[in-house]
Amino acid sequence: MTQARLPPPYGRFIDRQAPRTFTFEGRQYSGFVGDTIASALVANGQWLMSRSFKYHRPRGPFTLTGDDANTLVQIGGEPNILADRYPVRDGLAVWGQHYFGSLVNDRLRGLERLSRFMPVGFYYRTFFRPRGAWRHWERVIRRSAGLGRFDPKAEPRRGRCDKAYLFADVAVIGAGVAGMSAALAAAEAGAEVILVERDPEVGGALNYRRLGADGGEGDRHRDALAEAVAAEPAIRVMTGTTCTGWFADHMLTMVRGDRFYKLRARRTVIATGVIGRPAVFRNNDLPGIIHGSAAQRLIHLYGVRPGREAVVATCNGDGYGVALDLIDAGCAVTVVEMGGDAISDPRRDRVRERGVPVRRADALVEAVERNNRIAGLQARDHSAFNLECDLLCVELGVTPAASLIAHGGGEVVYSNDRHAMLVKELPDGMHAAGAVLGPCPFDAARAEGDVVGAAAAGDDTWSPPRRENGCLNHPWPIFPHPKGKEFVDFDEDLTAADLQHTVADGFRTVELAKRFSTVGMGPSQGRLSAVNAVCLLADAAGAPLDGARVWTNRPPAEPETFAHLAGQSFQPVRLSPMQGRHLEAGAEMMVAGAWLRPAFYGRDRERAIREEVSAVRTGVGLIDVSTLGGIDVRGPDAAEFLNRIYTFAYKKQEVGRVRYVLMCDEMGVIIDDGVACRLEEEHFYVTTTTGNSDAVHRAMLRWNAEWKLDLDITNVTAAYCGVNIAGPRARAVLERVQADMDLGRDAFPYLGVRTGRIADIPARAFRVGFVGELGYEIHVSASAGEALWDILLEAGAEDGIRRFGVEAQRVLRLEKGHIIIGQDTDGTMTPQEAAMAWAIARRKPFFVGGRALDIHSRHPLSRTLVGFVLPEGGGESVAEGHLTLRDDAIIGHVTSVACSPTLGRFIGLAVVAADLDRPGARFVIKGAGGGRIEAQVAALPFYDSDNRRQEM
Amino acid sequence: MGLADLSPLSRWGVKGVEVLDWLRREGWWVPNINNRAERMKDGTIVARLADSEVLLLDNPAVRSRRLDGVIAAVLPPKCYPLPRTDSHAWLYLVGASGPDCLAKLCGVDLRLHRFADLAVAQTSLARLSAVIVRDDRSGIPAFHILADSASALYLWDCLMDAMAEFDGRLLGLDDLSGV
Repeated sequence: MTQARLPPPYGRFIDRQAPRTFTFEGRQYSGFVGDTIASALVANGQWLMSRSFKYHRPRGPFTLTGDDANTLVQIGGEPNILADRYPVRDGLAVWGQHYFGSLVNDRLRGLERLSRFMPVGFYYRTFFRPRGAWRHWERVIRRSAGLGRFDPKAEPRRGRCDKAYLFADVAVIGAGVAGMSAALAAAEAGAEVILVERDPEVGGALNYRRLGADGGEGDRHRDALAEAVAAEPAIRVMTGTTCTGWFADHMLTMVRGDRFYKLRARRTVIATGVIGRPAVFRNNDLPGIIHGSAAQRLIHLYGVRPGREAVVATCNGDGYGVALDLIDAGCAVTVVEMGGDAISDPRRDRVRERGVPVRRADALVEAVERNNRIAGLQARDHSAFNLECDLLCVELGVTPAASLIAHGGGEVVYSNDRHAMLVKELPDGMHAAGAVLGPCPFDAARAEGDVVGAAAAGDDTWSPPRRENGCLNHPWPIFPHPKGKEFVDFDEDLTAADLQHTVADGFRTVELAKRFSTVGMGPSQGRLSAVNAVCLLADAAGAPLDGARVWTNRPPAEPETFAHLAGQSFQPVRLSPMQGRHLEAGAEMMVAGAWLRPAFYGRDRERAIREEVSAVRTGVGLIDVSTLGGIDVRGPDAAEFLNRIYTFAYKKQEVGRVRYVLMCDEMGVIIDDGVACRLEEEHFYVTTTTGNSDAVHRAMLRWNAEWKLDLDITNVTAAYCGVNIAGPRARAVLERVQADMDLGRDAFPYLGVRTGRIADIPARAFRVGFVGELGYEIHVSASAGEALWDILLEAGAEDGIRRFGVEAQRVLRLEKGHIIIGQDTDGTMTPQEAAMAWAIARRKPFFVGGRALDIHSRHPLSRTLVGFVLPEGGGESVAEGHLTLRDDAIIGHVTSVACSPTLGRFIGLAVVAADLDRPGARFVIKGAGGGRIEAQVAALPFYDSDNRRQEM
Repeated sequence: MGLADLSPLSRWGVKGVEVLDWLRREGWWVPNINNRAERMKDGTIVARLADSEVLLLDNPAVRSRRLDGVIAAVLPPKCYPLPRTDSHAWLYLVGASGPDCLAKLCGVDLRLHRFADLAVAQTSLARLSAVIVRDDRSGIPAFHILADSASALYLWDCLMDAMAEFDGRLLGLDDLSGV
């Protein structure tokens, strides 16, 4: 295969000493380091790269910058990779996407012959009737729509993506003339600058545009500026970096390689330049039709001669610059000059001097297709004329790359003077310079960059200058054709007629028209299509075009991959100090909030749970409860504070006693529970549920910021670890361990708390009955947790002490009818509904949620939490979350259910209608598979109804 | 650059409206503003976290007797001790690339010219609440990191991972003594 490569100095980005080989559609191609897939393919004469979304038309690159979506290809299991941005490397296997058959012969190409039967809004109108039709059509549409194929099992082509923050005084986006000048000026004014450039080198359009008739001016200017930038230590240059979004307070998101950056700047300078504007004419989407700047990128950056016979359609001097570059690259060129105003530009004079044919035209009529590529152009002056060509460079205008400005709320509107979108107003604190604000020759861009950079560094206010330079845009580069196929939006295969029909259907504003027609909703997000769409929509609606705005432009400005967004996600994991011991003992760990907890010990789940429950009921068990939150509330107002924040009463709680705590929010909804241990007159140690300590701590701080009580609130969750030794033999085991506290029933009664030393470890010990047996909860400093665990296991060996996990604990507490906040309650349940009115101290003047609970209590309860039992054989199909019914009406759901080894039957808790709160009442549970199981309300607790065992 | 686990060393916190005055009376150099630290002659760090809260860190190279003394002291009324040794793991990130490494985990600007020696940041690191104190060693930038002790292994892994691209390695106390 012959490569259309040009000799040096062409090919600024490529390293000819480093050839690379890759495949496209299974065929081998060669390129160089620095090539993109697209540049290497074009160098090999391969223009066809993808198929269009709707009609499966052949597509190739238009901008060569990734601003169009015509080069989306598939690499391995990852679709939608921009071939004009992705570098080639050895062994890369690239495929076209979205075709049936082959890329060259797409069987669905014939769809375009049916296009008149598929008008804009076709999907909305067609597939919802008759009822149920969508089920059929969805399969068909999903098969033919969608770009590429995602293979979730494929090896990721990237390394692992991660994220990092960056900081700067001034962020300059775009390293062209204006951007580099702004960066230098800002640095000179003392600012730290980050200069962001999408291309692999700084220079912007200087790297490829021809500024004058002779060429080479751009190189000289670029070299001087780039040298100055490189020598400035206050400027950090980030090439190969795409800025995808501007957010409040100058937070910019950027992608470079496998890293997603969040750049926080004090000021932003947007110097992103322009994007080539397509002309709208029949078959304007064929491979080989490119913007003039794309041809220059191919020539100068990649050393590729883009064609042999080229036509340049232009209305400005830049187009003549393109023509000169093509001639120098060895192309036969014909210029088609368009637009009303005579072009006065030395480049035009040079083209004429070189004898290049120049034709006048009022309109581009149609491009001729052959072998999936342009083969000719028909234009029209007084009459139509035809030109043979394999390349058409359109240079009829540009549109500002103003996405980042729009993200900040800047106003971008159409200007009749400029025949283009124009940045009318910048967001507060944002600066811009260069071509993004309008046509801007080198000297003006340089000067503007200087002013803007200094202003950004000094936090000065600044308004965009009013440009005096001429208009470079064709007044109306839209040429409808009776046979259609004049594409406005390449991504969505939308034609001029589609937008006219959109307006005719009543969608007259750009926002509505966008949603109905899907213009601007494809992968390129309207970067190319917006300006032509605005023109067509205004024209069709008979609305003034001057001042017309485009639809809301939101981040990202360019595609971000899910891999980048997901990046390295941070998910803190909290481990108990006894974690190692649990693993050694064969614990099956489970997630509980941010914590890992032993679910049970052993391999056989059911057996382990059964045996662990039995050990606690008949002997002694040991559970790690380090995951419970712990908060020290200390100070003269500690009791008053607890009185206000919890529903119970604490002022009269004696030192050495433990009391249940129930926390509600302002709406009276239960949000947490635990116990309050009064260690000293002015010191309470309060526990919270697992995973909720931070939220409770925050709520406490927030409330006391308002109340200003004299106390200190400290979250000591991680500072302490805890164990619960429970079962009839718990006291006996503990007595074997040297403790400086009397563990006897009278000296250390149920709901007592003691501080002292256990096995010479400073400890806070209290007696609670969550599992319904004699038990001691012992909290010691985290660093002593493992030692305490070992000591207690050793001391309990002769009693057959058994570790038990969360699963057994859940069964044990269910047998006692104790609720778990978040499982048996939801985000709406009040204490009354949870049958916990006993935990509300009504005589208190105030507590959080009290007012709401008063209001609730004036109304009859509609639902309540009850205990239930299931008939024999009925439990296997009932699970937590299953609905409870009465006469087919939903009355609640099952919150907890388990087979009680102690009772030998299935028991549970469920939300039911309030009038069912009486033992013996019956209701129905809709079990797995829709089966109905009759449940019977049972009195709580199920086990040890007079609570003797826990008070032993 | 390197990462040391200083968790076995002493650290202590105290809160209360009288704390700053009391510590000053006891001879501690308490910074005049919040989020600043002072380095005592024996290398102990006194980090002022708020108008009413101070964090004390032992010298990794030489154990401070002064710190042992204050931990054992009887506190004046309305001064509340904080069990930092148990509540917070203590890691020490040493090396000029520290800010770049931390920028992968933290949204606060910790670059050397913005986050001076003895500056303090109370922030989020890899989604964990953390206190970061810059405490250079022999002119080498270094950062104390204190965060939830229950998440110590998680944070350790995060930092080791972030450090890898800077050729970070593990440091022991002997390494620190030599710096």
